[in-house]
Amino acid sequence: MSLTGRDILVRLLSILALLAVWEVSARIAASPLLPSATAVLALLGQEIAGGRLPHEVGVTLLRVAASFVLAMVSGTALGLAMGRWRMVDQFFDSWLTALLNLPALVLIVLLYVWFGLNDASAIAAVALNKLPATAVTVREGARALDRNLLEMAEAFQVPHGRRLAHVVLPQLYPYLFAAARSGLALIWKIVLVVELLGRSNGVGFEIQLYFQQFDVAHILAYSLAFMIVVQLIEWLVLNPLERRAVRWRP
Amino acid sequence: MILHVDISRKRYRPDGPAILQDLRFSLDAGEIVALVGPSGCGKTTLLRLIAGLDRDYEGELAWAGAPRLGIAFQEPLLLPWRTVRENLALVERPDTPPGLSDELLAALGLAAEGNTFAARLSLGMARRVALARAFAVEPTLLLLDEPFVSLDEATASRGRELLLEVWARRPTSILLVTHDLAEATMLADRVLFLSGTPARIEREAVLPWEDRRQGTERAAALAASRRRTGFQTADTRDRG
Repeated sequence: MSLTGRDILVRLLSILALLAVWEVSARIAASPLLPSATAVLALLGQEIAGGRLPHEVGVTLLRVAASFVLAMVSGTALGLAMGRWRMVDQFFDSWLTALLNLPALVLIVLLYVWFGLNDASAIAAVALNKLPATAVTVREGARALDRNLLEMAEAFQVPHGRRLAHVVLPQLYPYLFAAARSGLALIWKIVLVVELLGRSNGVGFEIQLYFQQFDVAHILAYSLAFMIVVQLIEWLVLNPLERRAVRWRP
Repeated sequence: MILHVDISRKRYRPDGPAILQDLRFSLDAGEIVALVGPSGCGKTTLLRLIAGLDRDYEGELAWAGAPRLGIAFQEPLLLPWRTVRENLALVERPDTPPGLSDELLAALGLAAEGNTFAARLSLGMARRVALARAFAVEPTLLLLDEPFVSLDEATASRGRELLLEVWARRPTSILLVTHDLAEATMLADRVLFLSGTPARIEREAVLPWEDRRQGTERAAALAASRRRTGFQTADTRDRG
């Protein structure tokens, strides 16, 4: 997919329109509870220059990265096993259903209660929230694997590591990218909740502080910063990786 | 001898009909044997048993030493998301000599395609890559299932010539499944005729030494004359 000048113009206009609606409603409301777009952007610049916001965003990003990797790796392994072996599927299916239906908040609170208010509990809670969805997506992919290619690898006695890297994973890429996209969107939101409930730094913790002071401008500045970072990850990491993964298509 | 096949029965369901029954033959080192028979008679089933892809049968496959198999089936079964060279690297063994893939690619007229994604190859080229990959494991036995079917005749016969060239350079036993008697006659030392339900070896023909691998025309003429006489010549043994 390549963007033409017109595509970029339309997107730019849409963002500008959103900012304009925000600016105008803020001026009409004229309340500290709805600061204007220009005020929030100015505050954002100030906080970045002060160094505190980049630090807090960095702390949160580290938690996002750790739980993301944990959820993707274990979810992919579980999904692959469930897609390949019926017994494993039958065994873990009810576990997945239980996890999928368990509210994120309950999982977070339980892990904090059982294992203490520390980063390990926080990251495990977020990863466990994302794991079942990843496993379910990858299981679909594993069920759709090309049997003939697997048999070819079997007949040639290709070592298992090489089979995974060259035969299996490339077929799972579309599923892995789908899981990664929805995972990133879900995980950073849950990380904020985890930070709000039991950590003393990070964007979630800051938002709780500013909530107690009813400081909406800071809350919006922090959320805006994080939205931009997540969007940049999508553009600069996920999209190029995906283009690379499909470049073989004629 | 590198392999003795002794299959007393193969069925797909325990109470289903037998596909193969009382099938016995041996393969010698460096020998090319063609299995000829009508489509659907169980040739591919037999190849899958020998390839170790289906272990549910009554009988025995006795290998001399650990088998090392190269396969090239009707479907080239390349990894479309990998380049030609990466497809060969997939099957390489720790003891594969470093220049072998390049040598095979060159021998099969693919020297310029090493970095092409397999998804972008024509069927004829993909089949040649599949052959190169099969030779790249330095197999003790090469299993070929209709490796040149549904190609135009010129491409198919060029493919057969290339196969023989590579085989002459890197000799290995080959078990070739085909429904084309002319192809069998051109490539093989021996032809096994498979037919009936369940399939068994009806006849076995050893091709006269002076006629072996003498090119397409001679093979076609030989196949035509054999078709008329039904292979009832001195070199034919009835297996009943």
